[in-house]
Amino acid sequence: MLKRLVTLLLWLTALALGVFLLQTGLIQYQKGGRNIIAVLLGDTRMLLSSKMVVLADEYYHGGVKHQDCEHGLSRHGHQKTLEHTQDEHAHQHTELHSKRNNAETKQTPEKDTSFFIGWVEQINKEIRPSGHKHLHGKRYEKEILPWMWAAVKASPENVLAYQVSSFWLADKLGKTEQALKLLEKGIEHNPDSYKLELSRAQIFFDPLQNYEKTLSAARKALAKWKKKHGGQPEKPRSKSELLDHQHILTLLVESNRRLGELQTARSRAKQALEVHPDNEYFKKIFDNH
Amino acid sequence: MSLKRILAVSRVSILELFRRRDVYAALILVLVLSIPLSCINFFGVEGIVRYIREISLLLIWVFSIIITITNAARQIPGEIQRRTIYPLLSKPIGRGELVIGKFLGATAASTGALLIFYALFIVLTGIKSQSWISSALLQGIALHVCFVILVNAMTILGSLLLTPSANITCCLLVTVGILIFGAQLPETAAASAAPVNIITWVVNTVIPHFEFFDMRLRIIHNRGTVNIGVFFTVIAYAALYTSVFVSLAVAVFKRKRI
Repeated sequence: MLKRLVTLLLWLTALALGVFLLQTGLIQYQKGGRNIIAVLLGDTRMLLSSKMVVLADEYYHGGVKHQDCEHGLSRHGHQKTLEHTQDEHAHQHTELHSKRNNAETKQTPEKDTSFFIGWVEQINKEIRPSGHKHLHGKRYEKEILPWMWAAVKASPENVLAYQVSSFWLADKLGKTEQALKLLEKGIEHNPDSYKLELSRAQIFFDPLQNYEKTLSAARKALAKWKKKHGGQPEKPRSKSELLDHQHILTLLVESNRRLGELQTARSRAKQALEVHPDNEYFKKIFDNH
Repeated sequence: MSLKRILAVSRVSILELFRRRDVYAALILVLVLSIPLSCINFFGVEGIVRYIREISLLLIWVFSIIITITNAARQIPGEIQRRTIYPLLSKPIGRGELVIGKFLGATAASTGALLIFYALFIVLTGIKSQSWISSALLQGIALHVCFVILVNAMTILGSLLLTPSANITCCLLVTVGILIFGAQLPETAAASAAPVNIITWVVNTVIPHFEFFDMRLRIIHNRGTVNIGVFFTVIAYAALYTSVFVSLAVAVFKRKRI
């Protein structure tokens, strides 16, 4: 009897200790600048972290794998469709997917149409949900957070995890304070990342509408962007890096304009046009002010 | 065949599982892993539940497989090893009755353990989300019970053909393998050239598709119930394979020299 009681007590202690460690963050104990997870996992942390982001993406799509789609979590500009269910809205990319499916059908060898194989496929399709839906509404959108949290914890160097998490917190759930705190932590771990400064600037701009802080964060983002590219913005890089550059400049120009600093906005727009000559917004600011 | 004698044999099997305390250990492990996880604060946002469902259901599946296979695998070999099979067979009980009794006992015990796991799951996720039992969950539990029955039948048959450790290893590999890759077999068969496609087709046709019973994704992501026709087809599928495995086990045990 006593032995059983002691065993039970030990289990309860282990349980309580687990909860305590997770709650207090002691498990993040630092040793020589690396936490316990970092010491244990080494470079596989990044892979693990990326897998967590993929899992979050699957959650966003109602449990269906969708990492290679154009509008996954890593692409923030997702458009909602009108076909809603109670908690989620159905996916409406029929054109894109049907094109893809057609292409796949053409490539794959002749399908085996035997009765049993068809039957097995049918049952599996019914048991496993197919046709992805998106989480919609604060009550459901928060469901991806555990995996984003895990992604950030698994690898603090995963900039994408910070970006997506902060976007989700600020834009979808209205938790701007939490989003900014997270980005600050991210910047601490990734001091050279202009992307995290840009995310910060974006939150200050919208939803917070604090243009002074937007300017400050966007300036830092621009400085880091230039540092990364050796101060030569005219010789870039990838399309996404150019878009980021454009985004930073837009935030700067628009914040200046909204603060009534029209001359500064105009001169910034002029500089921006040297790198992005086709940008209609910069042209408009330059011409009108 | 006498139902009374079959039930008497099965009662012993049920008692054996709960006496061995494997279930309690598994239960405590599920609790120790799930409760701290359910207490984590994710960026100060409350009421997140799907990850708890995902992890708890995974644990339930893992432990149900382990408990089912290890319990069923030692039913008849255990009796032979302890030599208790001789006094048992000296009683007016047929070999067929013994196998069916052992199968029913192992099934009842594993199903009992499974239902305890699900009760915990319902409490744990219910407290977090304030929604308790959905029809998808009920369907999921029903199919999981069918899965347990089917795996029990397969393992009992294996226990008459292989040594206990080999049987446990094979059953674990087959079960987990089919759960992971079973759904991909039709695609593989369709995409491969001969003779791989023929082999895959045969494998796909012969194996019990355990993945049919896994409704976790529907439960986790609130994707609703399975079409009722499909649901009953899967149950009938489980019944068919179970009766084949049990009949084979009876046939093998009748010819077995003890």
